Amino acid sequence: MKSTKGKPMRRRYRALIVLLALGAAAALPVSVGLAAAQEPDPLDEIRALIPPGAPGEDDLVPGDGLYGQLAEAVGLSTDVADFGSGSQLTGPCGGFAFSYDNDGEILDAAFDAGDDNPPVDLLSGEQAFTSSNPFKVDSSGVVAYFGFMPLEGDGPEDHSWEIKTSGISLDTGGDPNNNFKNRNRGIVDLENDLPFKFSAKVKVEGLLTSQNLAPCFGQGHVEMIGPLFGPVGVAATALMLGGFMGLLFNSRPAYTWKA
Amino acid sequence: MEGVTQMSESDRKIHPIAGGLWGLPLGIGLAVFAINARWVSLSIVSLVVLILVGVVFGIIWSSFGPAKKPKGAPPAAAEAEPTFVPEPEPVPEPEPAPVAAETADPVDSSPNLDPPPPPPTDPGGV
Repeated sequence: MKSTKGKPMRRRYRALIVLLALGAAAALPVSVGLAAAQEPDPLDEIRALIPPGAPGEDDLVPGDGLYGQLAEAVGLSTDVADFGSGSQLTGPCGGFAFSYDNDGEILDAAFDAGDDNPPVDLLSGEQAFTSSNPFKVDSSGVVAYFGFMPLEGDGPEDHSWEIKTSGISLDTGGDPNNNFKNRNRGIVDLENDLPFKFSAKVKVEGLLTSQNLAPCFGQGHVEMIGPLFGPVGVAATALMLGGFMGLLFNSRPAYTWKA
Repeated sequence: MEGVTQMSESDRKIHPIAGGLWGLPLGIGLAVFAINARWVSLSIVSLVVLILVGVVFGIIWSSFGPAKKPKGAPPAAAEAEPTFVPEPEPVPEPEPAPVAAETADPVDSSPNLDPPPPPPTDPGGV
């Protein structure tokens, strides 16, 4: 009789303990999330400074004012302790870049203070332009940028610049810059500039040399985001299928009758 | 029969050069697709490696892949079919046998082992 009465009681206790454990496990992340929600995210201040929509040619972001605000906010809020070798921007140059997708939504934002530290991702607070956190660019979107060299004083005189990837030159340029202009801002409209849409992860290097300033060197990873089966994807698929069919039907080993 | 079995044996032929040539577009397509899909970074090294993967795969496939069956019938079967019928060689006519032989018993040509018949007896004085 003892055993028949004791079993249901033990089962009830066990069920109660299991329920309590499950409740505690379920309540733990909720409480942690609530605690985290109560603390303001330091990056929210920076994110609020980034223009929410893609700017047009007529409403370029005010470079200097926004840079000052960003520099102050980044200096106060972001924590980029791990400066690896994935990206760098050295020399008396800096600035910021905002990337927007085709719908005008912010895609990525990076900032460099002009010191020898690498650029900072304004959205995540991590180091920007690294292989694990590349600067994302929509191949049909726009990129708004502001750059300086140097922050104060005369700009680079008779400068020339070059952008390379894997040792191959992508673009070159230069200017006498007789006015000693030391800052520039603008918009790159990839929808109109690119002949076709594609995706790729690219490591890019850039170097700017001048007569009067130390060279500005930067390197980092950029991720182009485009359609998988755009013109490039379709051409690649056709090539693969052609090669595969050739291997299947035209180059297999074959038995022939001995003469 | 031995000759027939030898003629129906088959020989395995491989095409590594053709395999490498067909592997080239496969490798280029693979490289471009992998870069476009952002599986690998765009660089000279990744391009060359992926193209080489295609070429090497083509060579291996064309050397060690499953072989196609031989086309047509084996040569032995093809020879069995009458394609050329030679004229029959003329048979030499047999020389004419001696007449005595012809008068002999043509049916039984075996040597006669019976004793010869006795000579006819003379009736004596007749």
